Amino acid sequence: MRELNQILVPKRRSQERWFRFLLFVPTMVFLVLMVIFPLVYSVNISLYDYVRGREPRFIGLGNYLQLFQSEQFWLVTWITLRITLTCVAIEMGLGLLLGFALSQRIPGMGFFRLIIFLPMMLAPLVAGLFWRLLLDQTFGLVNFFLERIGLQPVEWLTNPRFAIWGIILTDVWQWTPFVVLLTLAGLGTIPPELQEAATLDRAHPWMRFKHIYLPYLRMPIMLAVLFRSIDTLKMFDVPYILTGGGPGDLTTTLSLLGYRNLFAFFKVGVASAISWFVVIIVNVLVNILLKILSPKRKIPTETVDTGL
Amino acid sequence: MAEIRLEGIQVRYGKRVVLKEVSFSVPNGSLCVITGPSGCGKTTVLRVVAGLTHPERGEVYFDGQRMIHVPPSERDVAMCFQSFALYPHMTVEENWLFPLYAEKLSPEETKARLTEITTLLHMEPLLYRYPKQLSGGQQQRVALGRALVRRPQLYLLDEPLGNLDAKLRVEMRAEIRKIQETRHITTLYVTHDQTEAQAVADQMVVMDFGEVKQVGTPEEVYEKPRNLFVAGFIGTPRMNFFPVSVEEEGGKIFLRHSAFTFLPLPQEQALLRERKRECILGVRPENVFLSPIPQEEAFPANIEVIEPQSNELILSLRGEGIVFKVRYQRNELSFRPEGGEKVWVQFEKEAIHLFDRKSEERFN
Ligand SMILES: Nc1ncnc2c1ncn2[C@@H]1O[C@H](COP(=O)(O)OP(=O)(O)OP(=O)(O)O)[C@@H](O)[C@H]1O
Ligand SMILES: [Mg+2]
Repeated sequence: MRELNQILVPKRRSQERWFRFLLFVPTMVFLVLMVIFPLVYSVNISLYDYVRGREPRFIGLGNYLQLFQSEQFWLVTWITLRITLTCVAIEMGLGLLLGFALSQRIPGMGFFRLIIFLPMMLAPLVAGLFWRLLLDQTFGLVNFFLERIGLQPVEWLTNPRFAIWGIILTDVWQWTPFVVLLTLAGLGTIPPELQEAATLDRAHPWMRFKHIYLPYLRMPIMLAVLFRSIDTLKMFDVPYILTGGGPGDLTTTLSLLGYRNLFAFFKVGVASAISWFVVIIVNVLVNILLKILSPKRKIPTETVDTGL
Repeated sequence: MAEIRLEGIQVRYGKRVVLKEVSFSVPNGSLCVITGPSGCGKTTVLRVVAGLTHPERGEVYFDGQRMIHVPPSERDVAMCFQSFALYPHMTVEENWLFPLYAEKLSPEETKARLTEITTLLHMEPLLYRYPKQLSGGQQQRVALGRALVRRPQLYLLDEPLGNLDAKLRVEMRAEIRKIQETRHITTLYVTHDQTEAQAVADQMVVMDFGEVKQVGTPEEVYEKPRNLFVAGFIGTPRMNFFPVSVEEEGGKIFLRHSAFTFLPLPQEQALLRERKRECILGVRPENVFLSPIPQEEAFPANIEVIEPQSNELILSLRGEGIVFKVRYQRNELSFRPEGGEKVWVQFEKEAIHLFDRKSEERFN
């Protein structure tokens, strides 16, 4: 019996291992084809002087060097970062506030909870178009109301000072609901008896927020910041439709710059280099944010394991 | 430090009435045990007193003042939740400090309270653990501690010792009693454990299906249960009930059952003569005498099961058409009972309970 086991068990083990490997193969193939190959390919392209219609020429880091020496590139990087930071800050603040407000058990809240998610369901292009009409200098609704209450109309989309705010406004309008959604989900996980205990313990609002709400909101907040940062760093469609990147380059984001290089100037190599730069920035920023937002002290058996 | 009074409290969850006309009062500084079967509404009563559940009807008074519209945070009550409701992101110590912030104590006083509670609950080695790192009994002690660090008007303790071992339970109930008495804090205390209830209560409230069945001292509830439910619920093993018919013979009233005929005492004779209906005779297991030889007014029965319990014996007997239980101190018994043995049974006449069969109310 024992000898038989000694023969059979290893055999079965190796069969099992093969089977497991077999199950793994489709994923591997898919990953290589759909993710790894395009990535490697685009890294490769970014190392060539490649303008469509001409023979590509290997120039090493030449594209990157050219970018880093260009003033326009740094301006666009700065604008992208500015839009990202402003948008994320406003969306988080507003989203948390609205989330708390909407979590109150007041009759009629269900209706507001429903309509507040509408902007999120629009395609960004549609949202952009929508705001372009609203913010239009001569026949837009916003200026109409500004004039009505006796203020100067603003050149929202063409004035160097305000154009960027047009972009921010659109993004905030569309994506604050996302933060609200995550806030509501986080608040929903707080056991009601904890709130009751805190009430009987006569905790004042700040203590309640810090010790009861915040621990349960930490993960949703982190997710919201991550998603919103990544998304805004890559922002393309809103400036494309709203301002076309102008006036000048004052609302051009990195993605828009890459797009222009590719489709207007046919500089495939430069465009690839820009998109790789975006990837690097996103990674660096995300890691910094994760460091800042992770809890200072680890509570042993955390129930939520997001694998982050 | 307050007299509590509930008047006609009614609570409904959806269509189901959970509390029906609950009224009772607890004198200032005393400890009131609320007991009853699972799901009868004990926790709901505490929640109404704390203000966490709004009753549909009825009033809650603290020292004669109406409290229904006073928010829970201003009622100054400390509650030990049945489900603990510990703050999971705080250590044991922080859980206990949390309610103290609102009391605005001096640092020395805070420290003194913390030390007192720590030694009281034997939690010294566990102060810096998180709730998830504790066993059920330890968590329960944290929950209890979070109530006891405070000096409120009222303690609401919802089965505060349910998860502890027997030794700790006996020790803790004495400590709770001591604290409550020295600080003179009115307390509502929910428990299923009858010895615990007897040990700590000044007053007991027995509930069933959202109704108060009896309010009284532990002795009253045990010795003079007001109805069939309380009689059957209080005491282990439970009271023996015999449906009997009331019959008059030669100027005397007898209670007749297929197995026996019982002659009640003169004072009960009068009561029974007035009613002269079928009724239910209740006899506690310790009020039954057994004898190996025939006695006057005794009836025969067979011993079926013998369960020894520390210094007591619980015997199950079968007579003609009846099964009942008897409890005996081991050393009081003059003979060694054996399974299957035939014995002669008498009821202690002074300790019988008579209930109306329809209304299930006691009438003697
Ligand atoms: N939130 C609720 N919604 C609906 N029904 C409820 C709710 N809370 C309690 N109940 C019901 O109300 C009744 C009384 O509940 P309660 O918690 O007061 O019982 P209890 O006497 O404390 O029981 P236990 O001894 O098991 O703790 C139960 O039948 C329960 O099912
Ligand atoms: Mg309960």
